[in-house]
Amino acid sequence: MILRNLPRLIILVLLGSLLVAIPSTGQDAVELSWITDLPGAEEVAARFTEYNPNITVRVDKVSFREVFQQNQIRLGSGSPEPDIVSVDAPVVASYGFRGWLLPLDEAFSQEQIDGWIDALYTSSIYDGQLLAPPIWNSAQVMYYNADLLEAAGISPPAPDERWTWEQVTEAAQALANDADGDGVNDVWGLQFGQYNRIYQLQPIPESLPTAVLGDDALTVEGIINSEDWVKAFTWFGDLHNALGVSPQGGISSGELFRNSQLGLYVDGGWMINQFINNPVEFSWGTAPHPYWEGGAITVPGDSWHLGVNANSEHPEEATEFVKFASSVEAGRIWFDVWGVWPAHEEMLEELINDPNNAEWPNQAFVVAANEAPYVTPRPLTVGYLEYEEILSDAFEDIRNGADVADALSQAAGRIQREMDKYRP
Amino acid sequence: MLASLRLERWTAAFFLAPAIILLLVFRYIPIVLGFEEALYTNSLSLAGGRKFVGLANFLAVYEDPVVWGSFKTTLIFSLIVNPLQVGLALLLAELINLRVPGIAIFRAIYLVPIAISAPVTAIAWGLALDPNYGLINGILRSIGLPRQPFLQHPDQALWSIIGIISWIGVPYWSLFFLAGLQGISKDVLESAHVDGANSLRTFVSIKLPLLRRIIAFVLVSDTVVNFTLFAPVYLLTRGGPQLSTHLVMYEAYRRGLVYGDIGIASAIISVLLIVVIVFVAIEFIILRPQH
Repeated sequence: MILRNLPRLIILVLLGSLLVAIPSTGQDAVELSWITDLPGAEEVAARFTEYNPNITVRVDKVSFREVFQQNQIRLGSGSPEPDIVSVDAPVVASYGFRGWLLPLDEAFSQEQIDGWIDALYTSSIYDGQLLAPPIWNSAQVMYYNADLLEAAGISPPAPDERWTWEQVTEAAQALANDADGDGVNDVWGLQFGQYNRIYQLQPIPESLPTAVLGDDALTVEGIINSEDWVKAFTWFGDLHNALGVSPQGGISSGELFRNSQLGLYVDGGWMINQFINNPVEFSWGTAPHPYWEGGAITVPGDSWHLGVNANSEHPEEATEFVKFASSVEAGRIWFDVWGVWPAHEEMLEELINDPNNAEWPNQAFVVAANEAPYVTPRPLTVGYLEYEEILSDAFEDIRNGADVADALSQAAGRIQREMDKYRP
Repeated sequence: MLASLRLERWTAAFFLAPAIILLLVFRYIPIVLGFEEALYTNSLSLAGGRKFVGLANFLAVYEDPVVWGSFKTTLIFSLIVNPLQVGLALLLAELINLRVPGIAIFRAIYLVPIAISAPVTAIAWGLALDPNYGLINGILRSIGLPRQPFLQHPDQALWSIIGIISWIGVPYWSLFFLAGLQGISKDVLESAHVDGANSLRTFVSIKLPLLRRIIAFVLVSDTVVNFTLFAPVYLLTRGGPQLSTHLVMYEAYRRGLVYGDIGIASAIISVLLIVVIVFVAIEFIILRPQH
């Protein structure tokens, strides 16, 4: 009797064990979602799961522009996903204003907060609340092709020698040439990595020095079309037009530099790893970010921040992840994967004093890290997305030879109309 | 007799139902929701808050010179691109319909642009039109012509976009005309020939009138497609230079998905929908079948 029922019994026991097993894993295992474009995101997520085996993080990789769009659509519609929100430093205020992020003040100790570089902490707060801690930091440096500089009869800057834009302009003019006479330079003098974004171009007016946003964080009229701005961007326009030392169009500056077609190239410290790991065929170096003679030294920088979706179904787990991703340990992963330097004072010191980094080419990391005190955050305003997008239009137009005063005035009018919507 | 008629009706309803349901779910309901969304604002409220603002978004659209500009650009663009594409597609169809040696090869290659996805086409053309490193400027230079800025110049950018989309659009729409041309009875064409009509006369007096329905269909479809053009602008010019390619869909995208102002974006789309309906109605009236 028992023997005849044995197969049934086995099946019953198996089914029973399944029933017991499913709810127990169902209760504990949590999958968090995270939309990002960052190299190293998978590595950070994997390390986090090693410590928290019941929490996995699904990393949805999208392009840089798409991170913002996905956030607008999903958070704007009140979706519980993504649990972990990638927040670019200047949009902390915009997301905070809309109530999309969970305040995290209680999750972080004062000690952890004090460990971050001050400017980064400032970018993490909106309305007195910690919304999105920084996960790493960046600074722009000037890369140069030493072979091209020498051919043009210019000695390259020392690793601690900060050129003025006047010096840069002169060098760029000496570098630019069209030897084969086809009407397109064989070598260009100067180009920026992100040649149409305020992130990269902010120091051009700011170093004069002049403001980039009104004190109330909602005024641009009279500021971004001031005489100083017109002066700053007339220089930028001339680079692409009258002087012809910078290329128009959408050609990638990094590619031009790699192909020995660009002498001076201003871009983020994250390019250093690319030039070391995938070596270029010429001698290159980095120097501090340029400034105007007699002006202020200001360097683009700051970083991505992470926040927790206010509608997340797993706020505690997501907060744990944000704590980990902004920790010293994760900072080392971010640095190892793509050379962005840490958001923590302590690690920055460590990087600067590391004997491995005293020699070229690792010395390039020190050049970037030494810029930390000069890093100026982007304008903190709830209307940053409008500010950035419309200014990009103006920068493109100026590159293409539009009248600078007209382009900036038109942009000021357009941005002001959008900003006025945020006035109480 | 009556029963079979009833059955026929039910059968028709049964076969039409899937299409009608899909149209409702993916077209009509979203249109209604879009109009509804245009009456609310979420740009000034906190999480989850949505405030009814009546026609305020439409008023804001009315008062915004950038939105007005984008409607104006879109109208100019449509008035150029639709007749151009329909005209060229007709000519191309007439060409494809010829019986000359080698036509089979041409018939095979002229369809290639349709087989490539629109974003890929846009990016490839963007590279080809680069002012410094583009293929087209290389060709211009090799035949002794000056370099052109194309997408970088406010006077050339919209024309460049028209060229890029027509590269796909013309062969695509010509397929419909080709089908129409091949449907014209040979007897009619032969009797015209016997009566001494030359090929131009045959085209104008016989083929065009017989293609009237197809022309109406293609023109209306093309109008709708071009009024809602987005990908090449998003990928290549971002509305510039100097707003010269700032089409309505791109402005709506920016308002809704970049600035996060879904209310204004919905208002823009609603106005666009009305404009498209008016245009299509006019086209239908002009091209209505004459019996």
